Amino acid sequence: MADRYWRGTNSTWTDTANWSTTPTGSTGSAAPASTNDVYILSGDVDIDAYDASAVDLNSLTIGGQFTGKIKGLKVAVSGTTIINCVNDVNIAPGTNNIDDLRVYSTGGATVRLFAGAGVVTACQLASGTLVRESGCTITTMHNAGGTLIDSGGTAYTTLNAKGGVTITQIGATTLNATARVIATGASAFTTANIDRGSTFTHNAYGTIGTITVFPGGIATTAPAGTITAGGTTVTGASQPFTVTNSTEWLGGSLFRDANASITYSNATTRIGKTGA
Amino acid sequence: MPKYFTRLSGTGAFAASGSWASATTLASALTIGSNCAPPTSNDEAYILVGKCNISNSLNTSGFTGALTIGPGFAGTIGTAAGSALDFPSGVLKVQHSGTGAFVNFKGTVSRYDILGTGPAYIKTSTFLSGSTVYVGPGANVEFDTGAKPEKVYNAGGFVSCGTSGAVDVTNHDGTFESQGPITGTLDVRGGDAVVYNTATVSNVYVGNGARYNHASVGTISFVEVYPNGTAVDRGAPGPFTVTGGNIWPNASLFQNPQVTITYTNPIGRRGMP
Repeated sequence: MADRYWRGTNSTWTDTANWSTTPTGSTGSAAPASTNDVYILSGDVDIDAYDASAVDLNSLTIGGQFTGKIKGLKVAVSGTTIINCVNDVNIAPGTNNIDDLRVYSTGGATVRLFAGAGVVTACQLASGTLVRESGCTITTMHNAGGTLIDSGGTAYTTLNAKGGVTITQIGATTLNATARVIATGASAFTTANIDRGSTFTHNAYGTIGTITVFPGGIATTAPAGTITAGGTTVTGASQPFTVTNSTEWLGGSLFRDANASITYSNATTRIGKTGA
Repeated sequence: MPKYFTRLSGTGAFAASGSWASATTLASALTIGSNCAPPTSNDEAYILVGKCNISNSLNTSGFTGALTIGPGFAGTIGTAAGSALDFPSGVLKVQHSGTGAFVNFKGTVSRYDILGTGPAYIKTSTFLSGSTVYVGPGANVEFDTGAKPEKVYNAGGFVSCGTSGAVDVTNHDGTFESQGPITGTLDVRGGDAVVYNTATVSNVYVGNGARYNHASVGTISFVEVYPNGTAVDRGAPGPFTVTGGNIWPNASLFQNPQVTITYTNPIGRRGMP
């Protein structure tokens, strides 16, 4: 597996003048091909959009001293993709998946998974802002401390909102929340677990199949409005929405808002509580 | 102006003038090679690229700033035998995002951010009150016997504490384990946590879907297991004592009949008739 280091003499991904096999070696190496380990670590020249869909890298690392923007790179990565950026990065999976994406951007940078039919198998957001455009699928999303916002696309299979703020317009098959979650638009959830430390705002009209609010968790609605993060604005939709099954624990709060318009298909199970 | 470590391969030295360049960018620093003293005072120091094994001149005395190890660094820091990069003067922050086989640290650090896929080993250290260790998803950090972190936030990595244990730990996800006591609070909000041997635990909270394993004979002062949380005692080497606690419905609290547990106070039942 060969290394490719971005040297950034111009903005063209495929120009051999931009690539070398070592951080300080001569440029003139071929642009990254499948199985390469690619490092974009320094320089301030923006990288123009390029579709390398057929390429499946071994790894891709974007470091915090690269201060340019990546304006749209479409590529698959079999191993780990690390985005530790200080400026905006637009990226999308190629023909094959991005298997393991880890984002810890800083300084207001936004990582954008742009529209397309690609799949990110697992994504971990530690810090910074990650925006997912419509079309891009993330199978398992783990927000540990950043701002995650999506503007469409396929529902997450599993959305673990463990830290930071998660804003979704689509929802998830399973939501496990211990942090702030704001669901807007058509967001729907097959299962939503709202745990201690989480405030889950369902400002959406999508159905919630089964929601459980555990002790210390809060599920609420909010007035319609707009929420902006990462340069993307999503519009919240007002109720009504349907909740098929629900459980509210002692110490938890399930949609107690006075103005909420919710249809409960089945009576709420209340555990450790008396009365409504 | 930041200082960049510019040795890219072979064996390197941290506190050596020939290893560092002061420049506005990494690219400039790599071109310069070396032009400055090693990090000192409140410098911002960066190790961002290359596969150098930094195993010499590991005492950073006088350096009190911040060290950032970027994801493009695939080398090692310290030695496989255990020598560590030492921060005797107290640095503000160490951020590790590297991917190498290991990095070893010790000394006084106000904040660690361990984010990279390369494991970090933290040797004998002083953790001041309020100092924090943040462990990102997929990261791996191991504290040595002489290191007792103040506040640990595990967001999905693997954290292992030695016989000194830790003060406060919040395990949002991933795995936390300790050979020593937890003298503050172990809040297992997700993932798994386990304590071994004779480790005592002052307060342990086990949330929905989380699992706590008390594989120890040490006393638990207070345990609360929330709905769908699980507290087990798999591998406990003998009897232990629980001073107080609460259990919620659908939670499981020490169901293993083979371990004798002495409850000095009744366990409160929350959310039950």
